[in-house]
Amino acid sequence: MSAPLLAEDSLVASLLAALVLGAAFGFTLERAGLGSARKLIGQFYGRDFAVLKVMFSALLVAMLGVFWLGRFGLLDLRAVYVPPTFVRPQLVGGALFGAGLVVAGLCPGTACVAAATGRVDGLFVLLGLFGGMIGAGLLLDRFAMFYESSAHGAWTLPELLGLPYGGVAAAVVVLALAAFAGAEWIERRVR
Amino acid sequence: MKSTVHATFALLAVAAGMLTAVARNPDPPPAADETSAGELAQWIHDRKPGLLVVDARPAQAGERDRLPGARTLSEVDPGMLDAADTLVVYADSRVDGPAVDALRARSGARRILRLHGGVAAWNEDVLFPVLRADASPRQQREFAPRALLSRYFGGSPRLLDPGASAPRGRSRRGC
Repeated sequence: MSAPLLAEDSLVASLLAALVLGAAFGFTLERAGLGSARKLIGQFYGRDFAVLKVMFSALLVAMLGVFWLGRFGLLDLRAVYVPPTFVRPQLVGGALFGAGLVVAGLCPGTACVAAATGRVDGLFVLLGLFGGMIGAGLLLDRFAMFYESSAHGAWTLPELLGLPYGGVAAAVVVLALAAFAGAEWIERRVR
Repeated sequence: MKSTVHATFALLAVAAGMLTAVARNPDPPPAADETSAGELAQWIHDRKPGLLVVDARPAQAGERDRLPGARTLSEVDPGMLDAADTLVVYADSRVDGPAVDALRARSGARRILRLHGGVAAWNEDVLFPVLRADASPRQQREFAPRALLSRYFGGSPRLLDPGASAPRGRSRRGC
């Protein structure tokens, strides 16, 4: 038996899994203090890099977990969905997302956590988020060409760089540890 | 205490990360009694002396997509088994183990290997390997021998054009 354990066409099971994973994700974000916009915005002033540390740690755990579960035959990597890459629209979307994060102090996940814990700013960010989603949906046809441009399909870093998966994973670990050390250094300097 | 926990997690991450560089690939490697489809293809191509490939699947399956030069169980006689130095057997997951055991009992072959991934791996890795259209020149060079081997066995290397793949859905999956 190997993961993914849920059949892709099983809607109820998928929704239940999403609910459980979403609750666990939200709980973890709240426990890490990321429901507070002050905490998130601290990294843009060099005061508090909790977001970088939490998110990069989660990324490392997931990356190494996927690698070794696959290696030991416990996860069928061919059944794991890799979102397609659209270079230009995703660059623009990423910049827009980053600008929204700086202005609002919350990203979609942390906005949900903030709203769920009774923070009014989280509620307003969620309202803006849904407004943006509806607006983008209504205007999507006008941007269809751009939206579907520079398609590269399911594109991973090892494919882009032409390097072994394991080598790229090791490089990401080194990068993360360097980022953690750099963040600690900046925090000490700013304080 | 806190710094000890941090140091422990950092060490674990470094160890797991460095081991990924050694392991290179997240797919399970062939076991000690298995050979990969690519290696078997190279053996067949090079006419490796003493190689015998046995298709241990039901007869109907063997008629459809038997590997080049493979013999069915009924075609294998004791003389062939005696002459074989390396015996590669492929079946499906339900009969793989018993088929290998039966051949081991009959054979004096020094090496009895199962085909890692079975016929599916043969089709995917040897007959129809895929090169991305946006592959770098180095990736294209590395793919060339696989393309040659694919054509040698009557397959056709495929070129994946990501831009020409299915149009982008209006809903997204994942986070």
